[in-house]
Amino acid sequence: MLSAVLTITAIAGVCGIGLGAAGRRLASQQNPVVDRIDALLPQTQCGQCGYPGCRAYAEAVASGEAPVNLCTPGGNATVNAIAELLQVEPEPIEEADSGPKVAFIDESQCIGCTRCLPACPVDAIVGAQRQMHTVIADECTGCELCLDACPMDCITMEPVEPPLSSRVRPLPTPETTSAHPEQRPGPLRHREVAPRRGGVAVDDAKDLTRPEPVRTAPLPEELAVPLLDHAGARLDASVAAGDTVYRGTPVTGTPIDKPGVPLHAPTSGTVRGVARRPIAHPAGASASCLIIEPDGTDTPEAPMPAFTDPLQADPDALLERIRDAGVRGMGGAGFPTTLKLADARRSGVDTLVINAVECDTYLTCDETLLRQRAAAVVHGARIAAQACGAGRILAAVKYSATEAAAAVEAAVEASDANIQVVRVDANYPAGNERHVVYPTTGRTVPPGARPPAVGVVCQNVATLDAIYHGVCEGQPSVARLVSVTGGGIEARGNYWVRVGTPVAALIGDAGLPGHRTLVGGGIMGTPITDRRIPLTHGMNGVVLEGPEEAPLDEQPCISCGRCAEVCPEGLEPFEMARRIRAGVGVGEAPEHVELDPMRCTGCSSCELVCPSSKPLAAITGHARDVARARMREREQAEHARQRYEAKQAREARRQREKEAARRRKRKTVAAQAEQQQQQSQSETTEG
Amino acid sequence: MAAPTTPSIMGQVALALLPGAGVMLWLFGLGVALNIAAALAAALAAEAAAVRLRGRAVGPALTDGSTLVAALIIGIALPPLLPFWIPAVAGALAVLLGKQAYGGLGQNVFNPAMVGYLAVLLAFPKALSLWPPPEAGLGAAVPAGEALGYFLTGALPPVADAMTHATPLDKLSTQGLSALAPSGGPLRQLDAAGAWLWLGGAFTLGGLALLARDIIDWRLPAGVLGGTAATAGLLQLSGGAPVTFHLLSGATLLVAFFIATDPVSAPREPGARLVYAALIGAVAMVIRELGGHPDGFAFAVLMLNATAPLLDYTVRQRRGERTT
Repeated sequence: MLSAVLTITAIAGVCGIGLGAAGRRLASQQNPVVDRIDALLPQTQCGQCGYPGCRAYAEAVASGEAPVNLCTPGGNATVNAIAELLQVEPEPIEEADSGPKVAFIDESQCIGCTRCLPACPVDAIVGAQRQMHTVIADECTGCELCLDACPMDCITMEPVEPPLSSRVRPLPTPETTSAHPEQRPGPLRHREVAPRRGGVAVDDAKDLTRPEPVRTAPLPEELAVPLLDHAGARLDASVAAGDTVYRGTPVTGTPIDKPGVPLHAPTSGTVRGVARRPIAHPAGASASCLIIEPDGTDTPEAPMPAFTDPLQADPDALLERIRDAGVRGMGGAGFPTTLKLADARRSGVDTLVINAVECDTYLTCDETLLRQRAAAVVHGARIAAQACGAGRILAAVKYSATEAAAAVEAAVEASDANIQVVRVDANYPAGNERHVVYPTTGRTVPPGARPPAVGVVCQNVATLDAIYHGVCEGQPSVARLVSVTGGGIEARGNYWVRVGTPVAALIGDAGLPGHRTLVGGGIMGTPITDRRIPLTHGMNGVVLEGPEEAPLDEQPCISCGRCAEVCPEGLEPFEMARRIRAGVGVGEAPEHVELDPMRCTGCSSCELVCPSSKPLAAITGHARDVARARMREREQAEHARQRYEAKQAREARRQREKEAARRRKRKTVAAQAEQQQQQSQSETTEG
Repeated sequence: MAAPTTPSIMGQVALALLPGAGVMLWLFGLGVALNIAAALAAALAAEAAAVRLRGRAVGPALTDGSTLVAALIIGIALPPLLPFWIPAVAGALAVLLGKQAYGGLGQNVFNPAMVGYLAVLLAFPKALSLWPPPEAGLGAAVPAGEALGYFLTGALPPVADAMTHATPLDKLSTQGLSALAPSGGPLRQLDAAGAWLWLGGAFTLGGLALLARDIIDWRLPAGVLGGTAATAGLLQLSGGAPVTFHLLSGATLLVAFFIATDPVSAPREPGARLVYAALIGAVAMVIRELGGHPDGFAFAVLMLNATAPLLDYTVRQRRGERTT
């Protein structure tokens, strides 16, 4: 009996010590619920919820005494985020929340009283006595504190368009993807897919367009040029409705303070004005587009003067010309080429890689361009190398593109250039500029870095062609070669298409309704549902899927780990997807590097091999968008706080100075009075 | 090769189990097939009911193949002479408690087949100790008629006592190592060992096929076999059964190739997988040699299933500390 009691006690003691040690050593790293709700709140401390500050509201929500929908500044996005975190039904805020707003002063009514100036906590209003006041929209936080200060009621809150980079693509769920299969993100279903470590062997489906002749798409009735720079910020049109433009007329100004690259009219015609059009974007965004009605003559603008000997020209002059010709990265990113080359020059690169790998499936526009214009591309590469100071040029061509490789070799031989052609392995992904550096140069780009970090700059072949035409012929970049392909297309092939041409002008209404249309390649393409979407410099393909290319319905994840095996960035997509869908850690710093959505390049290799057909890349993309939007919010909040503190410091200083001046004055007055007294005393004594 | 789908992966696992099931059928008679059929029917019915109650689509859940694999494993693991309700209860509990209670395929913590098997092992210990001696030929061990009669009615046929037979593991557990030595009927004992060898060979064949087709991770079978061999070796020094006996008898090979390799209930990290699998082998050996149960693999699998998230967490944490 005694021994049994002692034994049980001993076991209990050992277990207790073990559990205690485990509890301490393996303490949960997750924030408690209150912290996580607090992190979702906008931290305006406005008290509109009826609680003293965001923290108090978070505590009330966590304990269940407050509903999730009391935060007005946070809007429905915050309501949904909290509801997702707590797994409750979101109750939307009743008033229609119309996004961010900034103050706007009606200048015709402003009397210049300056009363709104001190009311603004972040110094976002400029003006002087009897001068009209203006709000700096970028600095305004939308706090509405200036509204009451204005005696004329001439300040109103105007909605502003959030920048494209802050748009968050929706989180795909089994319900949304089966309800809207035409919007489902993710690659087409390929006939052959086999996992490889860090990549996928996939049938490239390029034979659909490879043998077809190159054609020119007819001019559509209307062109829509999105007025956006590479970062999604808006560009201002320098032409107005009714203006006549010619092919190559610049239609945006080039502001000196922003690193913008001008857009050019793709053909001659009449400007109809600026209108909002849907654009190809994972979040289904729209943007202001310049609408041009072609006149059909395609009259060119007078070309810029051609460089007679570009290979001996001043790099700065070349960079300026590449900018003025509107050359953008045509491999997909649309990043201004002049900025990329200037950055490469600053980093002191020694090698320029002609990127003709074109690893996404279905696309053949780059290899077709090489077959047609290898000489121009090679010349463009030499100009780009001269502009960025690279002494060596390598051309990376995919194994399957035999003809294209032969064309480059012939063009290299015809010129006196020393360019080496490197054939790159056929596994996907191979054409991302971070991936193409190793097989060509043997150098490894560190995670998170870009190729100039190891002395390499990569340029897409279509970009190099555009550089050649901009520098040697003075022609701006207004057209590109687009692969129109997929199982749902009859007239497959590569087409020369003007920038701004709507997708409908290329494929009509084929495959509608039901089948997905992707802009881009068969793996990384973005599904679009509105065919008015205009083509831009970076769009290399339009893919209309056939019935057997549609992705299968999503199934539960069985944690087979294939996605982690093929991820070129060493991530664990299945674990990330599980957490993101559970709402764990979205928008927060990741617990482990393998789970960091910011490291995902969106290559979708994971999705190609997923036996459960999960939209892994879009799930990760959602988390990336949220993280980016949060980062931007934090930066803005930090910026506003700094301005607020600066203003407070300035006011305190002014107060001190005023006080000091008053004291000085009082002292002077007192001294004067004393003097006068003394004087009068002496006068009286004298008198 | 087209991209694999969940049903195709599960189908290949089921195909790879067929050689083992076939050898079982050949050695122990019709009862094996009846067990599999009962477990499968009950599991499918339970799956359909649970998925319907949860408001999900029934079709994809029934056709994903995971239920088929679980039922096959249960049918193979159970002794071949049982009334129908025992495999049926095992199949239904595997689906309901092992899988759907956690939210369906991919969400479960424990291996569903082992949950179902252990539930009936603990609930019906006497019935589950009844193994007929293996005998080559479809009706040689148990005549088909008697097997079917017992399966349907649960009334033990008169020859039952004659059929009761201690498996080598039972003998080891109850009588010690000396009972394993071929002394009384050397021929019969050798036959039995040969029969278990055949079964192990069939499981290994299926497992190697899955490895070759990249369906399972090599770390899991290698870990289980390594852990089993290492622990059995240590225990042999203190008077345990030989390593080869432990590797070839009971559930060792079935667990190594088909149960520990279930990716859902295993850890995700390669390092964690090796530790997990090796510990399954080690715990099972300790139970076999030192515990009261003849075979410990089912317990070992469930214990290590429970630690899988912790193993993953530890491996990630250590790597995080190394890289930062």
